[in-house]
Amino acid sequence: MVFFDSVSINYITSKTIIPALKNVNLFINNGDHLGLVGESGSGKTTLALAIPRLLPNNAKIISGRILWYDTDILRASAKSLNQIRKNISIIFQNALACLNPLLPIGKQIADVLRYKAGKSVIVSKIRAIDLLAQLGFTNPEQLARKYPFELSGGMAQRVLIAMAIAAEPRLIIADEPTTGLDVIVQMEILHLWRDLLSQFKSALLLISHDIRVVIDLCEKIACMYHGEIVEKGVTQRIVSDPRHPYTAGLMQSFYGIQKRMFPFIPGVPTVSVQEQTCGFLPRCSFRTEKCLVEPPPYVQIEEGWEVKCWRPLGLQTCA
Amino acid sequence: MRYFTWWSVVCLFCVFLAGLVVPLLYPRDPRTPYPGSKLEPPSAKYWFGTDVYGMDVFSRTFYAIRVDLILAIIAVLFAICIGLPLGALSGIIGGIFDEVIMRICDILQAFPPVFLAMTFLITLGNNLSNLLIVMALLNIPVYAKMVRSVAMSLKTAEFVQAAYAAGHSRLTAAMKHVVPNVLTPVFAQFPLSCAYAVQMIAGFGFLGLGIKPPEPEWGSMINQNATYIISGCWWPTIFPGIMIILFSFLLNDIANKLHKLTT
Repeated sequence: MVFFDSVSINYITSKTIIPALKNVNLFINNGDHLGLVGESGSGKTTLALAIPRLLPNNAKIISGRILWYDTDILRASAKSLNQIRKNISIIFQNALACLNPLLPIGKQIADVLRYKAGKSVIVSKIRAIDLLAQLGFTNPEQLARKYPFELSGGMAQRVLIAMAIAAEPRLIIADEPTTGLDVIVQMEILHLWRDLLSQFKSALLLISHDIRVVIDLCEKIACMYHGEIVEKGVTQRIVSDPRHPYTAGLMQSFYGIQKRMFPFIPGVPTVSVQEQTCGFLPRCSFRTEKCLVEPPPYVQIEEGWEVKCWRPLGLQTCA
Repeated sequence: MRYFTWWSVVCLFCVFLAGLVVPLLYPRDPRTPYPGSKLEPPSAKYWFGTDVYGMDVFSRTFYAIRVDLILAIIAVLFAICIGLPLGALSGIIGGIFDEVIMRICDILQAFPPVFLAMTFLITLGNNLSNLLIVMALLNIPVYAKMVRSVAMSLKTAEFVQAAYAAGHSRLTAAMKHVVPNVLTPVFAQFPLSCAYAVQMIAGFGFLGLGIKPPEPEWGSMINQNATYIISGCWWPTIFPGIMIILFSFLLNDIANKLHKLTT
């Protein structure tokens, strides 16, 4: 459905050029649930925003193409892009900021139905209330008349989910949908997501730096570092047996916290244009002579599991 | 809803209503001079006295509410009708269009208002429609710049991005999500601009621009009778002066409260 073919995107500022995506190859199939993990600034959001072509003005596409079926999104006309966007829903991190403050909730959901699914005014109004009821609101008619400022963070997040699934899109992009919510509400939202994903056939691209959320919801995972996908494959396999040193560090941090240890990856991410070899090199404890000279290739561990490393870790269990 | 006191709105409404009703009930015409009773002090016959031409000051003062306030409101609405779309487009489209519009606004604001109005009215004719145009011209940059700044920040707001992501075109997203949200500061600015416009119209009237006697207008009333203050005839100038202050105060107070309510 969506295919990233060697996509490179830079952010151009007045002083410098920041590479946000470097030769990214990724395939999201119909009904896939893919989790995108990585630390802040690793390019997760840029990758997600590139699909509906919502990148900021200073983003420059250097090379590659993003295919939506057969259409190249990066070069599509405004008309065909709008058609593609009707099949995509985005949930941003700050739920309250995603709702128009001047329109009641019910109208905003109904608008999505009218615009994306071409439903009539009355049908979309009724369906909006149905959706709110489906998402566990006890008094949906009353809620439909409320304005965003009257909602809590968790409620706003659920309303956004209602808007996202309203027109049954082919792809839902969720950019850190549980960040900023308290733990109990996070759990509620995760349960909700799980239920909805089993009901709908939509594909999900979930961006998070909370690995627990990704393990919970996604059967596939891609780990990003420094604008590159360093490891991708089946979630369970990668979580239990990570092969890239960065992924391993990430998993160690996660499982370490569960064991009341606080391991961390040494060093801080660097941003540099000149760097031609591995992005993780300055922080990697497993680097070799070769890592200093040449950028690493993608090594296939098994079908659908790839690691971008000269020296993928051996069987190493972190859990 | 946050705390909002209505007393200034109620006062303004009452005074405006008086402006509509008093000339209908009070027997003396605001434009008719009574030659035998020039500069009569306030009495039961002439409540606010008469002016230098023998015209009734009470009738003129209240009749002028229609002229000054309605003219001010029309001029500001006219400015909003042009400034709002210009500012919104400027903020959303950006680039050269934005540069051109903003530089024109800068040029308009660079002139001192009275100088601009005098030049305009003297060149194109000293009449009511030209006064309206010049008042609108003075207010257009205020609205265009204000709306532009809000539109620019809204352009990148997440709910507008979400609208783009939903497949809305730039125009639809702008009309549906940006424009309604820029109206809030416009509402707060509206009474303030009206207060300023009332002062400007009275100011121009005082300088002999715009509305001409015998049409009642506070500024021109003060101008005609100002020289008689020193001979003790305070009534033809004090009452219109009080009205200007009252309207400016009430409109400023409403603007202030609206501003607090919306921020």
